[in-house]
Amino acid sequence: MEEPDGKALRDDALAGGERGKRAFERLWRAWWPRLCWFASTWRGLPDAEREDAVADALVRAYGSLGAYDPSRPLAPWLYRIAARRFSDAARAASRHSTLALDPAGDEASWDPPSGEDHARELETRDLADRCRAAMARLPGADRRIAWLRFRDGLDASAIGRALGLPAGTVRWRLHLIRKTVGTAVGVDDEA
Amino acid sequence: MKRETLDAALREACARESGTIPAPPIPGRVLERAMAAALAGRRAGQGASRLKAALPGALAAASVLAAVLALAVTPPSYRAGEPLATALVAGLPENPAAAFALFLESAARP
Repeated sequence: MEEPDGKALRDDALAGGERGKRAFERLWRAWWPRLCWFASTWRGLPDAEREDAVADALVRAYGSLGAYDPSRPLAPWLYRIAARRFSDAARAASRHSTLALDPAGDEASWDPPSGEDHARELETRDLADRCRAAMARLPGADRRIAWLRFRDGLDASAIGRALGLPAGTVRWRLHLIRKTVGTAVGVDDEA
Repeated sequence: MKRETLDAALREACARESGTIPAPPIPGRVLERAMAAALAGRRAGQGASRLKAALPGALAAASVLAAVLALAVTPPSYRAGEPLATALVAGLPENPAAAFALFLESAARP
């Protein structure tokens, strides 16, 4: 998936017009899927409201690009805006919904590997499947941390900035996440 | 197995997770809202720039005002018979902070 450059995004958004529109399209294509999954970690956010909350977060982020410092990475800044929006939406929702993931939901999208690596690919695939199932059982706050670490590759400080947590807390939660998931899938967490 | 194996599996799990949700076309009303939000952001930015540009002038005015106030309380260098404008210019401080300090000092004198 194309990762938009933060500075170019900001410049195009500030330019407005057709450039601005194309910038929003880039932001949407790259970030809608990520924020949609991220939003699903707020269990208080109803399914019916999730996509609206994601769209709203992207509109807010786009409208605030003038305040974004392009010398810093885009992901923590954007996740921070989204996290605030999702927290507000979850608080406002009167009911709580369980947003469990369907661990077998994308079987058709996985192309079978070929050649001599087939067995290893299957093993990796099986382990990743079990990790997904184990992650789905984590509390929402831990799923967010795991997502930012393993999907976006953010370090503890950046995750802390995005979620409003101290970096030390993030490191400790990551340790527990590895331990929990590792135990569930039969992989010992040995540093 | 080691942590690297687990981390690799977790990365794979997350990558597959995000791959399951394709981005839909942007609804028209969302695009309109985004453009309106960007416009509002640009205007707010322009307002801040104008304020920043006007700041030196405001500081200069404050500096003159502070000098006048300082002279009005106890003109430090004013002698009777000398034109007041000369004393004002001579007493004009280089910056508002110094002027304000001068004003306080003058005001504190018995």
